[in-house]
Amino acid sequence: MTNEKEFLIQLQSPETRERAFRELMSLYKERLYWHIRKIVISHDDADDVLQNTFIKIYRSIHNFKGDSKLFSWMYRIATNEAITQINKNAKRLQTTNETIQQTALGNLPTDVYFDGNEIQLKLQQAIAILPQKQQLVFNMKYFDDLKYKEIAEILETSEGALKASYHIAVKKLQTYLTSD
Amino acid sequence: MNKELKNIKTTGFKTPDNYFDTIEDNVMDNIKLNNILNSKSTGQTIPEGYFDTIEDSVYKKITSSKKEIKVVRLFTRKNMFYAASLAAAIVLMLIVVLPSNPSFSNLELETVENYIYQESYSSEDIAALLTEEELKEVLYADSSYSDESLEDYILDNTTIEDFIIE
Repeated sequence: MTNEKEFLIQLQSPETRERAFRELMSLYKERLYWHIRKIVISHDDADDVLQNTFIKIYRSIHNFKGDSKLFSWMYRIATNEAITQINKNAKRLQTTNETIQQTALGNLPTDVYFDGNEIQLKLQQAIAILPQKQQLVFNMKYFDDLKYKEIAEILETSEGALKASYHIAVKKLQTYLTSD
Repeated sequence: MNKELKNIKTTGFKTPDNYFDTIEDNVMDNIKLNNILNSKSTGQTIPEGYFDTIEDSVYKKITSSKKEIKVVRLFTRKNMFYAASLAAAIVLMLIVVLPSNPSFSNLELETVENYIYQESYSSEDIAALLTEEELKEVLYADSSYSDESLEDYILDNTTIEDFIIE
């Protein structure tokens, strides 16, 4: 996507909308999926959230003003949808978000869509213990390789606060991994 | 096994095979389906200008029937008192007079079966007790339909949208 403005016009005009939207999905489906998957853990939830995210993007693309990059805007929607999904699961099972994440992790070793080794599993457990903000920052920075500037735009916070969060998160994870 | 964080480069999560190939189609299908479901139109219309005249026609009806109508209360305090004491007396009487009368609700199924068996009722006798409506229901429950008639019924009475929504 070389020219975001032009692409946006195609997305917002009824004749070119569907074709442009399909292109948008093809471009971002994998990145958004993996971002969501790291938050909700299970593939089924990630699939639901990804679809909802795209539907939401399709419905509200005409409201997108271009204040931020299209990419950060979609990431923000995906993040919110993923957190909403965890909240929904927690509400349905009448428990807390933390318990939901712990349960999801407990299912990981037998999950057919997880083939991580012992240490990867341990890292996921460690991440789940972090406060939600630190989880998000760590995943986006460490695995998705996003820049602080981009993460700041997605989470609507300052770069300084993010850097601090990230370093605290890394430190905690390192300690957790090396302890027995 | 190296436990350093910097050596872990992936999460270990996987997706089903070819999962990413069908996302665009799935999402577009979902959007189209949602559009159908969300277009809340029932297809019903109203006469032109209906809502413009509704105040007038309602007001006309109000003013033309302005006669005072006296309201007679169905349940006055006195009547209620009589009715309540009568009801209480009947309940009391039933409790005292009929202490252990059997009722249908506490009859054992076996008892009923034995009774019918011993009294040797014929099926005609039992049929005579049933109304025509009840008999019809029994007949319907037993009848079997041919494949053709089922197919005709489905073709005539359902639309493809019904199946999509399902």
